[in-house]
Amino acid sequence: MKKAIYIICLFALTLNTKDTKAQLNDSYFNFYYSMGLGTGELNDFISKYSWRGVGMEYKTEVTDNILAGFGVDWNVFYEDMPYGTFTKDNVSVSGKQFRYLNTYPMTAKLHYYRDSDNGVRFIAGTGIGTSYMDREVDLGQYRISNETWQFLIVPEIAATYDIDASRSLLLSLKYNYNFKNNDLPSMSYLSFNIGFAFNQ
Amino acid sequence: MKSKFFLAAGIIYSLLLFSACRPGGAEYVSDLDIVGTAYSKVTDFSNRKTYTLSPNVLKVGSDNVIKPEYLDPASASVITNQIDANMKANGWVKVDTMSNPDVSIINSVMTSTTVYYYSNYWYGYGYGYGWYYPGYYPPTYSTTTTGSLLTQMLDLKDSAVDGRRPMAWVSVVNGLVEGSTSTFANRARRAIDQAFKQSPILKKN
Repeated sequence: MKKAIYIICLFALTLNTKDTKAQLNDSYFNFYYSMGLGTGELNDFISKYSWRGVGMEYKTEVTDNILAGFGVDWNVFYEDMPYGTFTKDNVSVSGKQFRYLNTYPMTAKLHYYRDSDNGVRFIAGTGIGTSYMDREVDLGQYRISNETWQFLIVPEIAATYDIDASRSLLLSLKYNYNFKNNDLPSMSYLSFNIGFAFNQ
Repeated sequence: MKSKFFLAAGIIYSLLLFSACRPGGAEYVSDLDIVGTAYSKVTDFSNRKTYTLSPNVLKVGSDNVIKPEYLDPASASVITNQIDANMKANGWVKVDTMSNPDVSIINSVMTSTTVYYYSNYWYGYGYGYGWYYPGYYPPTYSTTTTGSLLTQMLDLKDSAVDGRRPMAWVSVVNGLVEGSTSTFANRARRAIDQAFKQSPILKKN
């Protein structure tokens, strides 16, 4: 709950920033619904498609074809595993596992964009930053928790379609590549995002 | 118009945020049952064939330290009968204590009750009184009782160390002690079956 409050505050702050920057006619605030699919070792841990996630970005045009900004996402992965037995050496444990991963990627972004005549803008670029990972496994009444930060690179492609002069539909596809560290293996995933971009 | 759109977007966005965090989880008490087993790497199971099984199930943690307490006979028989059935199905031969068995199986149970206590510090905030002193409003609480069944297989053929017999195999069944007697019996049987299923080293046939 505390995390949610922090993020809502950040959301509110970003709105204020947008109102200020909007005067310059070159700033964009995006918010979107985010879905995720684990790849590699995250997929081994949770293979179920994630329907829970949100994200927001603030970007500004620094040249005619370049956007720079930052973004924060929140994706939640969850899977209840069927009753199973886990054996290591001479010890075996059986039970039902409930697996969770809350991931909060935060990136600085540099994107290239190109506008078409029909109101569509194509965007491609990369973000770089860090992800806060909160991974939990519930087994019986016991919980195994791992909280850590992982270095993150996010290649991304996106498109916006103008609804009117200040609003656009947004679609994007990101690959959140989180580098492994001492606490967790690489927890990487694809995210599919749909939302709105606000601009003036 | 635009500010209303932003407001609506913000509300939807906030709802989405709160919908995240912690989905799913255990729905039934049986979802919380776990079965753990371990065997000794030293014991030569190929040379162990006969067993004896105590009909009593000891209550560990009982206040009465002079006279040991036992689980009620009806519940104890559910446990010992199921262990007996699994041992026989695995090819072991039951003998009485005087017939020099290879291993001895003893069972014990442990229960503990946890009280969760909630005191609502936020209650009434905003009416000009500030924070209420903790405990001013009646707190709410809930309790859960957890239980574990410990099954120990002692190796009687191995030499005793300091008068103690080494453990050849152990099983711990842990879960919430909730629900009706029949539900508990079914869960106990299922858990004991699982303990043997995940211990192929006990199989003789």
